[in-house]
Amino acid sequence: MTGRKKPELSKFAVVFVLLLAWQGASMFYSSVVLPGPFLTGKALLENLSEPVFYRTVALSTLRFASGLILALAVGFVLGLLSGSFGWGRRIISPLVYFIQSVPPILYMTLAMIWFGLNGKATVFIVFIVTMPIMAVNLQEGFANIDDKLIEMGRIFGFSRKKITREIILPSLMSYFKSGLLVMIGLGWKLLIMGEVLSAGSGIGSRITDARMNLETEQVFAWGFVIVFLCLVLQKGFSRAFRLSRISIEEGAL
Amino acid sequence: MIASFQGIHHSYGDKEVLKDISLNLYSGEILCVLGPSGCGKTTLLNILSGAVEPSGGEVLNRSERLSYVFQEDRLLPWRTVFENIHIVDPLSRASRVDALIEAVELGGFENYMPDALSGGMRQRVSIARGFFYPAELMLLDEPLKSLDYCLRLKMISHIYQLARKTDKALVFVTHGIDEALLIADRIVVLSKSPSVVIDEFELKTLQKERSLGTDEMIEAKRRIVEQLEGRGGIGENPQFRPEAGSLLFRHTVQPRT
Repeated sequence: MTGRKKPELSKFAVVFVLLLAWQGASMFYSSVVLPGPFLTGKALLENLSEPVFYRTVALSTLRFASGLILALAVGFVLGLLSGSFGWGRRIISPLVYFIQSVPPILYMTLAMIWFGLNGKATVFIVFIVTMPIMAVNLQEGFANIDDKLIEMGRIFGFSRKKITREIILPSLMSYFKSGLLVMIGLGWKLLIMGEVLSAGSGIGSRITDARMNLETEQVFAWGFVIVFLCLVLQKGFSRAFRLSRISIEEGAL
Repeated sequence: MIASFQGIHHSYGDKEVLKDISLNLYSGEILCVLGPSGCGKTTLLNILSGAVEPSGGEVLNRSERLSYVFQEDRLLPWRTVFENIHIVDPLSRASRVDALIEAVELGGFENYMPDALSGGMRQRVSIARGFFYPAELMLLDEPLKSLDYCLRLKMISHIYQLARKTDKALVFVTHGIDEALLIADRIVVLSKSPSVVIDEFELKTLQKERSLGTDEMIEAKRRIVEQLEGRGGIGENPQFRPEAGSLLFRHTVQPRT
């Protein structure tokens, strides 16, 4: 118990010191330049009490989920093809490399031209920038599957299905997981950027409104919401992944 | 006899590796194939397993199903000790796995993941897995190569004890004379590549009584070393030098009757 309490206490101490430093620094500037923690907290509480806050968060989350699911599906198929087949690798690798090399802001510009300013552009940017991460990760995972384990499976009479379930999928799992976590982190940031630039709704749009009205404390408050949601998503996926893996392992034998 | 290999020869391109090898494999017997490094022992195992078709010769009665203990443990890192063994024959009783785990002195480690075990422990799991798999033929490809001397002796004892409880034909490939002398019912000595069988003999002493200090063992070792020296197969391989510790080793199990 004592061992667990100590790191918790030190975490609180760090947060407390940071808040103190923030409060101290805010006293030297106007609230338009650097609002203090109290002002930001007040703005945050006001937001939390409004139903529109939850609608805003839900809309952004929906856009993010749409882009991410699309990226996962396409990235998974591309990674599978390029990892499993020589022809797949020859065709898909340069394509993925090309998509990865284009700066996100260029995609954003194109997406605004193609899809307009209705939020679809943000889904597109999340999709196009995060998709190659899964494709590359899975391709890497395939390249690192231990041939000796496959040979072991064949000698001990594993069927093709059993080799896939027992050797190939678990070998890819860590690549899938790390790819997914990077996709969530990057995708969430891109979503907000996309909404700031193109959408008339969602979290990014609320940040734009705050900037226009010089409500810097609102920008800070939304910043905290963004970090919190990203953290929840990453931790949630990480936990779900762990649980699903346990249940797969329990069900396999 | 469970399988027979007559006049086997094999080449990789122009390089001849095996030249006229004949082997008969018998149920319940531990056959040691002894030869210097690079003499084609693994190629021979691949032919015995059916993974490689020989360039020439006759293979009779070879079963499709065989068990294998590799040089490396080849355990699934995401499976526990118990699962790594049970997975090769999931329909078999779990109590058999427990008995094998006990037999290789890993009782209590059933739920450990392989990366929490030492190299020797992992290799013991691999040996238990090999015995668990229902096959008439079990091939062991220098499974003790990466282990230190004391651990090798301990593992020999484990393999020997487990072999005595089954009817599997074991083919144990090694370049360690002491290992072969301590475990084999029959030894086949290969020359350096291109390999031929330069000697084949049975060990008469019951394994229970077997120690590298007995006259039979000293004579057998001298005979093997002479054969290999005559064919230039020894070189600087430290495996072929006498090892003092090995003289102390005795099996502690009951021999077959």
